[in-house]
Amino acid sequence: MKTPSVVAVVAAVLAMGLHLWPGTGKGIRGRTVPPATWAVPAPVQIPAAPAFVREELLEPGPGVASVHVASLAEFAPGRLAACWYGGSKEGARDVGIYLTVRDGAPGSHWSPPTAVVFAQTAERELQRYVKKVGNPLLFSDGQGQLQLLFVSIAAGGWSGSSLNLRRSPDAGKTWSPSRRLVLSPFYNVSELVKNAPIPVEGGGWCVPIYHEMIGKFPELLWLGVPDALTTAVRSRPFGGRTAFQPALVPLGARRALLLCRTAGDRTELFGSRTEDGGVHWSSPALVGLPNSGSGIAAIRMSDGRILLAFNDTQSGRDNLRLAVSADEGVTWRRAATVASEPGADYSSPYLLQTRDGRFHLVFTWKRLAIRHVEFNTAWLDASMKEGTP
Amino acid sequence: MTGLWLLQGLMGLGLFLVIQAVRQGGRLPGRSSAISWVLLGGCLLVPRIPVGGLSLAQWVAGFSPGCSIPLLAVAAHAAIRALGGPPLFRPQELQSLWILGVVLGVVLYPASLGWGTWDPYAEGWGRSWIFLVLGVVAAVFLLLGVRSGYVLLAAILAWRLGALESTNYWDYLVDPQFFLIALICLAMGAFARARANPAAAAGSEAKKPLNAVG
Repeated sequence: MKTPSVVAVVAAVLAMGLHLWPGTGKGIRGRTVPPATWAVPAPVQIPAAPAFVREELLEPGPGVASVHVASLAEFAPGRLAACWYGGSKEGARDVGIYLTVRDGAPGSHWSPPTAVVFAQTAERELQRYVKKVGNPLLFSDGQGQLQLLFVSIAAGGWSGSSLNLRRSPDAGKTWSPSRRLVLSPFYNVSELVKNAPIPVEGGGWCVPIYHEMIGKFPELLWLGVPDALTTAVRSRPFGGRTAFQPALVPLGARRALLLCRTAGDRTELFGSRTEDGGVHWSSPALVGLPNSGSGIAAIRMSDGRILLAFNDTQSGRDNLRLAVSADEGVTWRRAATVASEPGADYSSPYLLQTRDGRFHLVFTWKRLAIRHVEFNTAWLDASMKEGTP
Repeated sequence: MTGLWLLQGLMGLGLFLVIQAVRQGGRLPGRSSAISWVLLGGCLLVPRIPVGGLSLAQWVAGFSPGCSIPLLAVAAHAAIRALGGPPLFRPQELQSLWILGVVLGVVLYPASLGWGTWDPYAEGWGRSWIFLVLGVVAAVFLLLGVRSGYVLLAAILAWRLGALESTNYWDYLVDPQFFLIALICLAMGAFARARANPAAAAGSEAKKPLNAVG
């Protein structure tokens, strides 16, 4: 063997060693995700209380004619932040991501919305051309910090989206520069987000995201999970073109249900399950509820049941209804209809249960405003007794 | 943006190669002249020109998938040749890089667009078999004196150093541009061999030892 070859092989071995050596480089700890353990609190019974519901429209923002895709976070006990995207029309260059906050004090109101990201902001921070922004997802560890995932697009429609992350240490007053997450080898496009993340045991988040270019399928973004080799990695429950835009509902430390909007001809909701922390998922199967190709939201209630918000129709988006499952998504009972008007657009629901046990639902109201519905378990259960099974 | 300087370099080399090809009528190796070196320096500066608040490289970055280490290596090889310098890679070494690009692209891109449940891209974040396989391939290449092994080695090192925006190892090995170029080069090579010697095109090439090409 020639000396240069020996040197080269030694270099190759060193390079491999650099990769494999634990504790070096970008926070290498020891293994990849999934599998992961979801942080799932034990079910608790909510004390009896009178039924409560309150509805309000959130102001869209100065000069904003069209809004869509809202999300919510409780960034401190009782303190809420909401965001959505809005502008002259969906996908326009003037679309911005707006944020509003509500204090925890009784009778407090939402603050006037302020823009936190425009295409120009993202362009400057990402140092690349950005045509438009959209689909913001706001979430918080409840200690005052907010995290914002949003999509940016350089060309084409939503399927050309890339995901970006911003952080605010002070409930939205100031933000870190946007950071682009590289999650796909093919031009890093078609990575979108809509639904709530789930905290991971030991730190970090599991965010349900999705892909919609050629294939339409759900994905999981593991963000800041300490055991991950890097700070943002992605996994795929299943591929193809059956179902996408997932909502992730943890059922236990290693068990979860993924509910997805239909991507094909079947106008029904799909579900998939994992029993091993997200490594293996069952083939998508029908859940027994209709879906018109519109987004859904689902969360695990603090008493262990599952709450779902969906358009209860096989065409259009002219109603928005709640449903509850007490058996981990095997069967569902319809609850309150929170909006219904022939021909109207009630879409993109987002659900959150705050530490006081109350539920918050935000959704797009006729594309003109974001509607916020706040209710408690007593109201939800009462609506189930009155509603259709 | 991490990796922008690599994209700037790639754009500059690409521009230089196009201009040199026009100047020299596509002949390689090119002539080493003061004008060529000045031209190269100028081309490397072009991506930094600001247009509408962004540099040209930042505009391109909006649509570009980034640049893998093999693509940079091949561009550097072509630029050195265009300047009249010695080749970084022998023809069969280039061929091995094209094959690598096509194989990785075929494994990666259909799956990334949803074909099947297996997601090979996710392996690039972990302590995965692909590091082992490509490490062994690199070691074998280097033992045989095939310089493509250095490219694989450089990709591992670049990944460890975080030279690109991506934290996924696959992005250091292949990108859609490199895949496309590799596909075209392989197809053109096969076509040229078939035209030159239809009967023995495939067989004789395969039997030729690596160090016989230079």
